[in-house]
Amino acid sequence: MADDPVIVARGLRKSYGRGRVLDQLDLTVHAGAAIGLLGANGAGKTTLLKTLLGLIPLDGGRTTVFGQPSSALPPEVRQRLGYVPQTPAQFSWLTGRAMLRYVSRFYPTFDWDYVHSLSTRWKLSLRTPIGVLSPGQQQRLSIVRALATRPGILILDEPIASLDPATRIAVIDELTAERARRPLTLIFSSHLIGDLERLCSQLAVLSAGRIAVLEEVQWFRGLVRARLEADEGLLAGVSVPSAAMTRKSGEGRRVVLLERAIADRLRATLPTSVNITIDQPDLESAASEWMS
Amino acid sequence: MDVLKAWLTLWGLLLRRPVISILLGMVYLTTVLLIVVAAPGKRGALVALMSAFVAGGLSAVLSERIRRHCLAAGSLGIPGHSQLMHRTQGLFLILFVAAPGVVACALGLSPLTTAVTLLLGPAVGIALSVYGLWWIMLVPALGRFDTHTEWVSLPITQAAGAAASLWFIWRWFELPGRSERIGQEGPVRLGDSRHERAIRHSGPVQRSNIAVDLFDPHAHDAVLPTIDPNIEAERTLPAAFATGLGYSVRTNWRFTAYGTAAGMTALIGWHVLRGGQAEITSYVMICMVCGVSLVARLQSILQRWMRTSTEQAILRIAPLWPDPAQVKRAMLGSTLLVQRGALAAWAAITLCGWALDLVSNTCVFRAALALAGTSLAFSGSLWATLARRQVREWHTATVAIGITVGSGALIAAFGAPLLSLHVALGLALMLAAPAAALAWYLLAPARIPISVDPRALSSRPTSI
Repeated sequence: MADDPVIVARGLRKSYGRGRVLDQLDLTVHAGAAIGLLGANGAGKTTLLKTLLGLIPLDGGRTTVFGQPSSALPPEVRQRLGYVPQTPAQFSWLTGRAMLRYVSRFYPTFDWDYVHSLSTRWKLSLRTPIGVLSPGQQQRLSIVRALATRPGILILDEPIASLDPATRIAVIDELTAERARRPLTLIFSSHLIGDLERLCSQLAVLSAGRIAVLEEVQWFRGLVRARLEADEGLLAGVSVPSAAMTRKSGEGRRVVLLERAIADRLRATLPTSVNITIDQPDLESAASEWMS
Repeated sequence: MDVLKAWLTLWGLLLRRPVISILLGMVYLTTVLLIVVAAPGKRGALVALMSAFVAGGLSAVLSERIRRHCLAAGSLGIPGHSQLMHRTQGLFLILFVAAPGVVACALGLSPLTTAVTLLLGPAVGIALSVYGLWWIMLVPALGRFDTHTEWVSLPITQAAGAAASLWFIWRWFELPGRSERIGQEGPVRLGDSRHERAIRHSGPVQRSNIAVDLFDPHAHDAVLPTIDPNIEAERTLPAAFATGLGYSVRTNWRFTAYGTAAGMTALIGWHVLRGGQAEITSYVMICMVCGVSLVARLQSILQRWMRTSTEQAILRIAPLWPDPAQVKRAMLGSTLLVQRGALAAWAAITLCGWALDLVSNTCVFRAALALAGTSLAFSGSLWATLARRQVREWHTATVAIGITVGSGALIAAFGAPLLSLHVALGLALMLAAPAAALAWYLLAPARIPISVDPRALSSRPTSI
């Protein structure tokens, strides 16, 4: 069932010292979804992804993967999980081949044919010590390692930040092809919105410890940005109920993201003393508004 | 304003730490008590000696912190950072060397003796921190002079010692600039938020006891086939973890044999040179080497577990990753396995010395206590550290275990005139804290991947 939730997070809370990173966060990921996770530096993307995998203890809330609590996932659920961490240098004291052989001991379904196919296409040397590979090569190896376990859910934490454009495209293409070949749910954290746009069907923005918005990529593309300028007292009385997002950008200034049709209606109904300009933001600008 | 900044830096780097503050308070309290009961003529020497110990310990810690901060400052390009560190170092010397020196002189100690005592402390601390522990192997050479202590009081010796210490301290001021330059040149990975602080990528050149394996990247390829394909078999888990997390539980028996032979040669050679049965200096040094080796192996396990949280995260979600109880038992096995070599070498050397009547029974007993205490204290500290929710740089538990085990060993070894059951009491004290740490480790939830406070991760070693 494509609509079955495979990951459910409810009321997640996590703090580091006095800084609260996740604050009553809710998230539902359905089978087959490809979610691009966006957020400012330090917003808690890595923490959220680790929390979903049960790798760090929570201060509150609960997460389940395939209905099982993340803190105690049974082997049959772990078999279906793949994870590419943010840090590319993993097992740096081993060669690529030794690392893959080592990891394969923990996975009954490790796919060596796929490893050979990918390493050939991505020009990966498996005989070189991982510690002396470039960060980009290390990251490619990490992705190969995760894909070779044939996961049903693949969680990637900024996996392509250190890759050159050609390799980034190759990775995106491979992930897209994998999704076409078999059921694969993706959660992909990145700051590169162009890549997320190519790969993901949905975008989620993490802000102030919560998922501020989780919508289809098309929905983001359809938004327009209205900038309102007027006396602060007057603007305080203006409300846009159907707005996707409203932000105070200064004294007497508001930025509102909303659908084109609603923006036109808003322009018609606003008092003339309110100056309104409407533009069409690109996907990156639109998503960034939630992070401002 | 500069002095205030230097003070705040010194406070932040050194004095703010509870462990340091508590230890400092204890040392000063002890000093005051000793001064009260000491003869007037000895008070100056007492102040100088205690202050030298304090300055030595603090300078070692301060050097390590300066180096780490300067590496980060160099990578970030913070202007004027090394100048601030120089002022901090100067303030440290004023507070912990010059001020006690004035007090010692006022209490009647000669200026030259004061100078050499107080300068030697920080010089040794700096050398320990910057050059590592290997040079301590040179200490046995001093054994040649241990029966001729009058040379220490010669003005020329003291002047030479003071000059050498001053040179060390002078070179210490180059540490901030040098570390910043290394920070500028080296690849530094910076996290994207406060809780993911800048951590130096340790890479393949970090300190480890598997240096040979690091330079021979195919070594682990050779190891892997020897691991049972059924990774869940508990018998092989310590070896499997070691391979995955970058350390080794294997004992290099050939190296152990060489070390044993060298130790025996040193013991016999020393006896030939010096004569006499109770030639304990060389034996004590050999025992110290065994102890240092044992501690290094245990620390390497802790360091690797602290530095491999990413690898642990990858393995933790694997379907055949063993259950927490198995992981704990494997860790326990690892801590015992890595001590085999050092203990075997010590046992062989001791047996040889005892059979040849080179060391007395009492000496063997005390050495056994010292080595057992070292093993228990550091194993207990390791278990207590891994039992915690977050691994930090210092734990009260570590200090408590060290003090309890040390006290137990001292009571067992030297408590005869005071206590009739001193051996039993001492052994009980030695075992109590590590046993408690082990129970804590076994009862606490398994923390995998280990959550590590970034401050607990040390930087790559540098030299001045």
